[in-house]
Amino acid sequence: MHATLPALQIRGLAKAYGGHVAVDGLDLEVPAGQIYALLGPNGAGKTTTLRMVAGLARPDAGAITLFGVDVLAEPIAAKQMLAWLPDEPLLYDKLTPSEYLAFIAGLWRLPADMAQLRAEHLLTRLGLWDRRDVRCEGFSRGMKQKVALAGALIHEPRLLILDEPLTGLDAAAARLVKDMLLERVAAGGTVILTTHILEVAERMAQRIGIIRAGRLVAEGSMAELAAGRDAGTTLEELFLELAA
Amino acid sequence: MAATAQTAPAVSPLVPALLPPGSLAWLVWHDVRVKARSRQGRFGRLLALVLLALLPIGAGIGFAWRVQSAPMLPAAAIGVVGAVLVGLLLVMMSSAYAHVLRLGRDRGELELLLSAPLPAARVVAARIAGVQAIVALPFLLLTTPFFLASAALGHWRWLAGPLVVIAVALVATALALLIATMLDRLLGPGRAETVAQVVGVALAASVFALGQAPNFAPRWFAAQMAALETPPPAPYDWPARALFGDPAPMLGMLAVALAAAAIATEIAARRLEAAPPAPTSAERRARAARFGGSPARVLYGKELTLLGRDPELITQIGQQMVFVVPVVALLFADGNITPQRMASAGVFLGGALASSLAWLMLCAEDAPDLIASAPVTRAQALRAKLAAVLTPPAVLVTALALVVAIRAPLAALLMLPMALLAALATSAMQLWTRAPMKRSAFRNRYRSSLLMAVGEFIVLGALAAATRLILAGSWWALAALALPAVLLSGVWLFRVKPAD
Repeated sequence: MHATLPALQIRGLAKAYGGHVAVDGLDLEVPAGQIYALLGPNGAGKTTTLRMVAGLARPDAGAITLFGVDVLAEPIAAKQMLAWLPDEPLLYDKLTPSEYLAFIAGLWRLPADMAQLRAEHLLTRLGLWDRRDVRCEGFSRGMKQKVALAGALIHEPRLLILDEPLTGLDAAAARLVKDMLLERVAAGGTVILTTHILEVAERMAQRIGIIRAGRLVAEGSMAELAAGRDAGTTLEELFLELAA
Repeated sequence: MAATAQTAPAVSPLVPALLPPGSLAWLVWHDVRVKARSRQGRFGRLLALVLLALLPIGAGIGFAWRVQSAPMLPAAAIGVVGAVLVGLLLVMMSSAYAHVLRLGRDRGELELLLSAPLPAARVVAARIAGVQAIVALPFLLLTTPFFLASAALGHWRWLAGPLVVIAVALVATALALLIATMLDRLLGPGRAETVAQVVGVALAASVFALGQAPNFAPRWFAAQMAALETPPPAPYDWPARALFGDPAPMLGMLAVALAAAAIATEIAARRLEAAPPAPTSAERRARAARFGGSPARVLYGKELTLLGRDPELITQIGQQMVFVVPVVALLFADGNITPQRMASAGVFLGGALASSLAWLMLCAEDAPDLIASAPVTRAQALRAKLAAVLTPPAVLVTALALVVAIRAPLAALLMLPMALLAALATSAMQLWTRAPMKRSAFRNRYRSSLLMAVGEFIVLGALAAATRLILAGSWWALAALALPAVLLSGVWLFRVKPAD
């Protein structure tokens, strides 16, 4: 039954800060088992939307459901299925990567033995195994980003939301992260990401949504978005046309 | 071009004219400007600073007036002044040590300067000059009015006083750097940092408590003062003589100070070269913390682990607790240390410690979005964090209660719930009045709200008084309990609501 439910469904979502309307009656649906790229210029409302989905901000109006669970009515059940990874890594400098992952596992009520196995796998995969017992305070931005990604993946969320996930990563690390996201989707997970690197969205995402001034202005697969335009139209050209 | 939201004050054209860019003076000016801008605040804070500045001016003029008939070189005061200067040196060393630690850690901006085409020695010297200025400035502000007023009243040689204060600051900074480097080598950077921070707080607390000795140990204090009436032999009397403008000791002090400044710059340059780009404690393999059980237990464990691993924060908490000493000392003003008074002191101390911890754990979450996105309700997270806040005060108060219980079990029994009440009250005040912020802002927490600090002291004072009144069987205890209740209700009405 779950397979038929969309991973995320947003209806009439609105949010204003003071007099500024950040999200303006947004409707959005993300099918399960896909990578969905949410694009838009700075200040378009992408991060605000995703923060509301993650339960970090309360909408002024509208409804959000994750796999059929109402985020506003059942926040704990919704959060149990979700991981949120912002562009600034959410870390505690005084904890080591191992401890950080154990902490996250505890918050998401993952059994300790399973948490340890997954932590070993993730830290090894992300090249952090040798540094697992070193406090994060001396880590580079990229390393912190990798620890935070491991934290987001350790409880194997059904929906993974990433805000600019490749910021601060070198080419090899960026490639590794992209591979891991694809594997997550192959395993049945859903990924929503925002990025300013349009090439990443074009290559990775099955569906792309373009948001402007808090509203969805275009949505579909790359082929659907390019339909009716010249052959070889790039996402960059589409984006500049639609989001400007 | 679009206007920026925050416009920095324009740089006066005089600055580049007087201070050539890249010169030592220009670098020091840059350092001071950056520090000053980070402390810019509301008009109220400025007003508070002005009012605070009036205090030493008034006290300085008053004291200068009182001693106007003293000789230019008062032999009877040499011993006391010498002891005060030793205390000043220790306090300054404690302050300098904290800045020295930051010198090696906050490297981002320093590396920008070091990457500029300037002599590295000049950049380091400017940074050390900044530390020396920060160490000396508060004491200069406190004492200069006295020296100026004394000079105006005929003691013109006492104008040497501010120079001696600066000299002590230079020596203190050099000693702090030397100790930091030696401890690094002996214990390793991580342990050295912890040990030095704890010793620094203990040092500052001892000096501060000594200053309060006339209140709680008047007889002992009088005996010490009598002993100090005999001046120490040369050269131990030189610093005090220098303060009163005796030429030879003064020249000696200045020579020592300049040598200390040169040594400090040399040590700092080596230290900065040797320091890794990251905090050295990061490289230390930590004993792994275990996070298990319910999410609430995980959060509780996280808070205590983070606190235990941050010696700088522990130092800052200790430093803030030091300022509670004079208030607590008032309870023992007549020299009588009774269990009932100790119970009151325990209530006050427990509440004050909880206040610091509440600020850190309830208001300064380093990863707020992570906690908010976790499958834990806000109330669950708050309860877990509150439990962590209450744990260290509980240990402190229980230890005190055990001491009190030997002589007065009832006082000990009452002390525990009253301390809990005080801890909950200060925690609630922190929670209701603070917007979320970073832990790094902890140092300035009282500076950001003087009103809050006063309110907290009233609540703690009232609860400490209520403890004593209950033990005395006085109905006035009800009034003492009502005061914090009213104050807390007021704070609750104007509480900061959690942002969406």
